[in-house]
Order: sequence, then C-alpha cells, then structure tokens
Amino acid sequence: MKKAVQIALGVLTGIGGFFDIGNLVTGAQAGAQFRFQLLWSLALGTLMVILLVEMSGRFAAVSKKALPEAVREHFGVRVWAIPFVVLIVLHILTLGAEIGGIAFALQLVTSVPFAAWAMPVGVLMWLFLWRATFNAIEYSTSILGMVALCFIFASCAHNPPRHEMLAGLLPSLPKNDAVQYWLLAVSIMGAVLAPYMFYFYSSGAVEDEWDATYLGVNRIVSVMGMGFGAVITAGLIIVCAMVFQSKGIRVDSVNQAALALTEAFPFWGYGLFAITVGVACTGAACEVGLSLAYTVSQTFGWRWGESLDPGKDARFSMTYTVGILVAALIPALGVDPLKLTMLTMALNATLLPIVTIPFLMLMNDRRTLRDKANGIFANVGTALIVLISFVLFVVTIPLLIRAS
Amino acid sequence: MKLRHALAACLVLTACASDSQKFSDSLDTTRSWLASVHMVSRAWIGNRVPVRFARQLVDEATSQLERTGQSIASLDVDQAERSEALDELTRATQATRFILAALERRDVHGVDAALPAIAAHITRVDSLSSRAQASTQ
Repeated sequence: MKKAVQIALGVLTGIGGFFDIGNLVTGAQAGAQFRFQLLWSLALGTLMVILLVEMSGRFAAVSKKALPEAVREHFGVRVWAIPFVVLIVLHILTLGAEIGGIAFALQLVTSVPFAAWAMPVGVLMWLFLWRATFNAIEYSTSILGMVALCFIFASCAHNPPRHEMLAGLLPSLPKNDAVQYWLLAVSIMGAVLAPYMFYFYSSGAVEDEWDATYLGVNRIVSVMGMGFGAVITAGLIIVCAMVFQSKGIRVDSVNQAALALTEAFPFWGYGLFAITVGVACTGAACEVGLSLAYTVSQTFGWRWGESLDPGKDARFSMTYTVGILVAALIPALGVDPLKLTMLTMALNATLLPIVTIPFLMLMNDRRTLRDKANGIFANVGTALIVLISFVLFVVTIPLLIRAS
Repeated sequence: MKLRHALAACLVLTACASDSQKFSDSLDTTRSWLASVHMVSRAWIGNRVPVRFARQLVDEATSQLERTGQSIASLDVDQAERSEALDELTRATQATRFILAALERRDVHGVDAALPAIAAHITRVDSLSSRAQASTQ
C-alpha cells in the first residue's frame, strides 16, 4: 500500500517536473509554426529522458549517492570543475526563466509588468523552500501541476487530424524556415532533457531513502511520470497548431501564447492558461532551486537535505538563497522570458554531453552497482543518447547564431 | 577532410540570411502580429479576455509593426515591392492604433468595426509574402 501511494505520488511528481516554461515556450512555438511536424522531437527527447531518469534513480537507490556527488568522487574535482561551473550557470539561467514564467503568469492576472513581479516571486519562492520540507514541496507543486491536463482536454476539443499527428511522430524535413525548424527541434529536446531534472531526481531519491527495493517504483515512476508529462506537452503542441497555425500566428511573444486556450474554453481559457503557467513554473522553479543547492553542496561535500532544518545545513540553504536572488534579477531587469527560455533550452541541448557521458561511465561501474549496472540494452540506449548529445552539441550554437 | 566538411557545415549553418529572405520573414512577422490583433480583438468582444490584456497585446503588436517597418526600410530588395510593403505596414499600423484607442474607450462597436480592415490587411500582406517567397526561390 505504501509503495502504491509512493508510485502515484512519484508519477505526479514526474508529470509536474516534466512540464515547465521550457516545454511551454518551445511547444507553443513548434505547434504555431510547424503544426505537428515536430512531435518526433518531443517523442525522441522523452525516450531519452525516461532512460536517463531511470538510470539516475537506479544509481541513487543502489549506491545511496546522488549524481553530482558520485560524479565528483568518480572523476575527481579537476575533471568535474568545468562541467560544474557550466551547470551552475545553466541552473541560474533556467531558474531565471522559471521565475520569469511565474512573473508573466502574474502579469496576465494583474496587468502589472512581469519585471516588477520577479523579485517578490523570488522572495516568496525562497520562503517556501526555507519553510517547507522536501515532500511538502514535491507533492504540493506536483498535485497542483495537474492543472496542466487542460492542454490534453483542449487538444481533444479541437478534434485534430489523427493521421497528421501520427505522421508528425516521424522526422521530416520542413517546407520552409529550416533554421527555425531545427532550432526548435533542438530546443524541445533541451527542454525535455534539462540537466536539473536528473540531479533533482537522484538527490530526491536519496532524501526519500530509496534502496534496492525501490527499483520497481523507480522504473514505473520514470516511465509513467515522464510519459504523461510528454503527453501534456504534446497536447500543448496540438492546441497551438490548431489555434495559431491556421491563422498564421507565430508565437514570438508570451502574450500571444496566452490566447492558446481561449477557443477550447471560451470563458475561462485565459485564466486557466495563467494558472497553468504559474503552477508549472512554480513547481519547476522549486526543483531547479533545490537542484542547484544539491549540486553545489554535494560537490563541496557539505551537509545537505531539504528535509533538514535550514540551521543544520546552512550552506545548502544559503546556496539556494543566493541562487534565487541572482536568478530573479534576470527577469527583474526586463529580460523577455520567452527569449531567455529559448536561449536556455538551446544551451541545455548543447551541454547535454556533460550530463550523458558521466552517466554512461557511472552506470557501468560494477563495484558500485554490482548486478544493477547497465545491461547491453541500457548501454546501447545510453550510447545512442551520447551520440545524439554530440550532434546537438555541434549544431546548436550555429543554429542560434543563424536564427538571431 | 572530415574536419573540412564539419567546418563547411558550420559555415552554412551560421551564414547570414539574404535581404530577400529577411524581407520575406518580415512579412510573415507582420502577418503574425496582425492575426494576433484580430484574434485578441474578437476574444475581447466575446468577453474571453480582459481589456487590459487585449490592450497590452495590441500595443505590443503596434510597436512590433513599427519596428518591422524600420527593418524593411533598410533592406536591399526590389524598390517597388519594398514601397508597397511599407505603405501596407503604415496603413496596418494605423488600423491597430485605431483598435487600441477603441479598446481604451472600451468601445465594442469601434473594435468590431475595425476588424474587417485588419482582415483585409492580412490578405494583402499574404499576397505580398507569396510574391516575396516566389522571388526568393
């Protein structure tokens, strides 16, 4: 019974963790400009994230160590130093984008500019992380995150052509605007494969005191949580395709995206969109803030744990405090949340090898994982992911330059 | 040899878009913003979005149309096509300003009356865009 509840809550967390500002922005732009043609990118990213999340959970359950700690121990401080700095910058940018998303949702509701909301949002978020325990944060944001299911209902209400949607699951070449097409394909994968998710998930498994008996739970949670999260994102792409693409609207601004649900839900679509963005970004912002603190604390060997009183792990708490403050400054200075998100998601994709290569090596360490190390199937899957990561690493920066 | 191929691929990917491509992109942007103004105006008339949001979006669209006009003016494309596009943009911007003023007065009839003009601008921008794309290819 206890495991069943944990599976249910874990799946909810998976869904909540999957859907954030990155998926919202990239999905809305992809649907508006290329209809269902980029669904393949979401499907590919989802298969990759399921494999990686399952492995990060398995590693934590068997070794009782979270990923940053394990990477530092296995590869040494010198090897880990540069990826660590890059990941911290990426965490701050992602956190800035998520805080920008919450501020934008508040702008929709109040008409007060998002820049004015950024610092108050940062303070409230810090207060929430300071006061709440890990489980309270995890479960409250995940359960509220179910509001994102509205995209699935809205996509059904538009009655999209099924054969065209299925065709979108296979990669195809764009008829026009090839640069934007490939940049969006890369950014969708960057949004799905955000590094913070793996660090948060493995650290969460250690906080929840997972052991080898949780491997089944881990497998179900990673497949179902990420799978349902992807279905919600697919719903968003479909809604934006049906609403915007037929009218020739490209989502170049977050304000345009706010019209997405007004046709499926005429009287409450606008408010529902604002709530969905606010809740999804709040959940993700908490996860990114904690992931930042986990990564820094584990790298320096500090005491860490969101379930501990902040006085008992002061450096851990100080890390997310400073992180939130710095990240909130980005939207507070007026940086457009949509542009910040697109840049961050593209960088996520570029830096994927930093996450995937240590995975491949750690998951084959039989001294630590014994019979739970990767088998042939998982290794082939991870090798393919590493290969795709390198392709993304090579093409993303040129695409960004060309698109700008 | 492989390195040479990789460098060539990077150069192709980072190569700047031509002015005719930028012209075509600008027309697509114009169409997108005009369609957004049309959609949000209809949504406001149908009481589906608050007036403050509608005003914000139409104001943003007006600024973007002005910016696109400045960008088109600096492009090295066929002079007749460029003049036609700039004239169309000027008239379209006037129409969005008219909607903005009507929204500020909360004048439902005023907004409703301006919608056919926006639809006509969208059609004309579409036609310009098709011609621009044909000349790009």
